[in-house]
Amino acid sequence: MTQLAVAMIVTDAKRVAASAALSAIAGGGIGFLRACCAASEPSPTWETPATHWYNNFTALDQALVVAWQDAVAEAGAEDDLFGLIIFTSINAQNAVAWAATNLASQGLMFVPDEE
Amino acid sequence: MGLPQLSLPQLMVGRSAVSTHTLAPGAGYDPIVVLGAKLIEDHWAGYGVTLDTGGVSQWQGRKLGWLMGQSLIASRPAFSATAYNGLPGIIPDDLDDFLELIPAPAELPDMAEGGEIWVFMDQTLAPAVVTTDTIVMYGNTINDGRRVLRVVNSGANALRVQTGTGATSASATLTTNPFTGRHVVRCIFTPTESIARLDDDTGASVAAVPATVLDRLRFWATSALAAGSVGAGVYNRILFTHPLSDAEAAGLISFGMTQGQIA
Repeated sequence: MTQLAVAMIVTDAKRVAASAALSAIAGGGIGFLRACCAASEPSPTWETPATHWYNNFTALDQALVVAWQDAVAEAGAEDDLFGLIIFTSINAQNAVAWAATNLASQGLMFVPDEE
Repeated sequence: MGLPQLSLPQLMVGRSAVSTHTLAPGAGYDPIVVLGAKLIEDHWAGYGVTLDTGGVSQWQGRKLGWLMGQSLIASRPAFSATAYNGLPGIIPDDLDDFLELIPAPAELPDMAEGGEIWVFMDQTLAPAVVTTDTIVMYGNTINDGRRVLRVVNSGANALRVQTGTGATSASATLTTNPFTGRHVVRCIFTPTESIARLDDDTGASVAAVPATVLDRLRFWATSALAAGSVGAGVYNRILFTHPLSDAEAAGLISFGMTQGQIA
């Protein structure tokens, strides 16, 4: 079965609900751990509030990814998965570089970690 | 005494393919045998690795059976049977992959008790990636934890040991041995100082009286309530020991350098 690299971006407001909806489809826990903020944020720190959240899957079965994509496509404005952005790739070897590209496409960047 | 060659059982659970990898330890040296009571736990990528949807969902220690786990599918690192110099390796993605055990096992040294953390790893990040990446951490916050990390120092990859001392933390950064490629990492925590060493070098040290708590143990992320500073690289082995003698350490260094073909 084809394995895909997958990444997702969700708004802060939908983070919890979208995680639950994705988990229900996957039959396992889905979370978003990386906080994001606007790329235009002048001097972000680890305390900068997250506007969005990002996750990354190194390899997932294509069937699961398609099921998620279908659910997102069918979601109405009030649904938990509405507005979720899914990126897919095959053999994405550099998750960090891929994340930078994905985030930049949405005008976002990671909130720095606490050191 | 030779150890038995173990099997590779395969198990299908629900929609997920789950496999537990259990291979034989490296020939000629087994930390469990050689270090005896000095060894606390030995996580080896050829043993006790459970693969589930998204990657490694559990990694079991060989001695005490500590079960490092990850319930979130996106945060499961990848596994390769050959990624570490032809040997097994676990590969976090530098974004959100880590394994954890909560609370941290009681056998780990806490407060000012001496102990060591060893890692056989391939540090794959280029110096241009200026993030701070956790390799192992246990405790809670930086001020009450023990942390092994990769940093960029003056444009070069470097190993750092960081010890929480209560109200603050102290760290030593090893700048004389570039932390790129395969290495044996050894971080020593004594009641009065912490030392970071790579391979057979002399290391860097800092005075620190640990005030370590045992809230959480994480591989490749900080031990704070919200995991951060997620790590990268290829990990063949992570060991926890009581303070080792020079001879015991020399044996483990030699074994690790041989496994990694480190010159």
